[in-house]
Amino acid sequence: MSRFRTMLTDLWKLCCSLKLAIVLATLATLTAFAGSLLMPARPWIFAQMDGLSLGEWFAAQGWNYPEATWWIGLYGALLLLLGLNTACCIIDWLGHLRARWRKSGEYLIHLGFVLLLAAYLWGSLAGFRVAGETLAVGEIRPVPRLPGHYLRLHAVEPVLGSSGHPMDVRSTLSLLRGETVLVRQAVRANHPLTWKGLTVLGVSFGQRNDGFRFAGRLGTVELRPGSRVALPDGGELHISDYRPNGLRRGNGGQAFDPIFFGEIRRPGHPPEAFRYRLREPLPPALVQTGLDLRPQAPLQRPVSILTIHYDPGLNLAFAGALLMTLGILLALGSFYRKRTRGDRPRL
Amino acid sequence: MTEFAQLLLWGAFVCYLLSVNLYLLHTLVRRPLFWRGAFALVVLGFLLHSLCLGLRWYLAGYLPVTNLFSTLFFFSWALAATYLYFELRYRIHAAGLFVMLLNLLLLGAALPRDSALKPLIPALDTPLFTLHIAFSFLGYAFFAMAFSLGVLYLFQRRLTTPLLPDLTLLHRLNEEAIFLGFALFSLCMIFGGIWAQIAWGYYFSWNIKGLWSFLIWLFYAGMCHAKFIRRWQGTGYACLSILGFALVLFTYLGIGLLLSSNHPLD
Repeated sequence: MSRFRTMLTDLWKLCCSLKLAIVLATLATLTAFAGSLLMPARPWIFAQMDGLSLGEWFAAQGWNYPEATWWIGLYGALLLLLGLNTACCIIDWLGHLRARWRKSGEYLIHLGFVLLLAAYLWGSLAGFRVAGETLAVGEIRPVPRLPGHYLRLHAVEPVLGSSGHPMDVRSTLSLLRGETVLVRQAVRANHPLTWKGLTVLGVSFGQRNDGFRFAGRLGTVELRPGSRVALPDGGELHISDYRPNGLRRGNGGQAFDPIFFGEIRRPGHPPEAFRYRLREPLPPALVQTGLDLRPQAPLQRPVSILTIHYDPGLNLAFAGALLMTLGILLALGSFYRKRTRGDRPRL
Repeated sequence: MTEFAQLLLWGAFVCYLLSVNLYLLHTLVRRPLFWRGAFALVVLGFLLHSLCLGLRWYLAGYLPVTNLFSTLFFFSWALAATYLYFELRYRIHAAGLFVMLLNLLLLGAALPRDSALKPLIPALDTPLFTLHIAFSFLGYAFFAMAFSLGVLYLFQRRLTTPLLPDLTLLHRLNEEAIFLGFALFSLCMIFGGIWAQIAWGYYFSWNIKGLWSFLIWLFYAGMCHAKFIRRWQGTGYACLSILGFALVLFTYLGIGLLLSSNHPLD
């Protein structure tokens, strides 16, 4: 029994060992040093590292290029061990707090480091990053991968510098859960929309073609998804969808080939669906209603281009940073206090 | 106004140049008058340097540390401040020669470069950026001081000259420089992380600069612990200080000038 106890004590001493901390920090430094030499030589592997959470990036690139990414796993494991070693040191310090309270600053720095490591690990495994999300003014879209949450864009405008050059973009956004507004923020450089672990940044702005203007017997008609137009025969034209690039969805590279989807509703009749490709004549269903639509110009809507990051460990990371800052200030204060008392500190 | 700033800059450079020469004379002739004169010139140079920095800050409307000229300029200012701190506290006298020579090299490298003040891009327009760079270069300056003290430690070990402080004091000063540098560099990393979070949505970037900055932090954190290990006292610690500064220089200049990073020095 006492032998087992001695073994446990030895193991605990190893876990709290200063030498172990130095060995782990050295190994981590050397690993990252070696790995960083691979980074500039293989930009196609590493350039997108900040565009994804580490877990997602590693799941994709780590398996595809093991010869170039092996060091990240090793580096992470060494840092994790260093974090555990540091956590053991803190626990050991807490056990001897009455005798070692003067070292509070130093140990707060240690605690901050452990929290930061834990937060980064959490964010890397459970967080996500989405870039290039476009949101038109007035539009509400679900936040990718965060069910029940939506973003609404109220306005988007460029911020011009004193010389008239566009310097920034200001997007007024609301984050909603269901129909409840959680936060509303004018997003611009260094002013993201943040809510819990979610960070929404305005990267740029642009325009999106979301319909077409027509001329005809009814005068000027603007058609876009959701438009309703009263027809001469008493019916109603409903536009359900519009695709500027034909049948292809998403950001396909197909030439401009707009197409409308909709239906004609008449009282006492079943709805009649139609598809109107603007490069072709009006479909018979629309001709029969007496419409003559002559395309005039595409309708453009301002859009904000957003980057959406979610990191569940963000608050923990802030707590770690706060503790570390407090620890540094305490350690500095303690250092100078000891010196004015003539007590040369063993740092 | 900018001509006046340029005049102040050259004035500081000339003061530092003369002080280096007087320190050199002191090491050869050993007259207190020389090191006193050298120290007075460093103080005068630092005052001119500070005035120039203040004026440039006022003219730009932000702390101008955004390109190679301004970072070398600010690094030199921080190193002069660090040297004054150690000189006033510990009277290291001739030990100042090496530090001021390093300082002269930094400022001398800045002089021929473009000193024009450019409008700040919106991403840099935040107090977090100011704190990040100020703590960064102050940390670098203490690491440069530790490097100088490490080199002097090795000299003193070999020469045992009364011109330099004794080995115990040099080692203690080295430890202090590392500790203060580490504390300031940690603050730089913290403010940089918070700034990165609000500017780009993540607090750690896998850019090579971010990675190497963390390596520097880890290295000096290791040094703050290594001083408790007997084997790493003295010569070992001095060598680590020199190695550490090599890492700092690579991170600052090597990555900034030679590689593509999110901290370009154009």
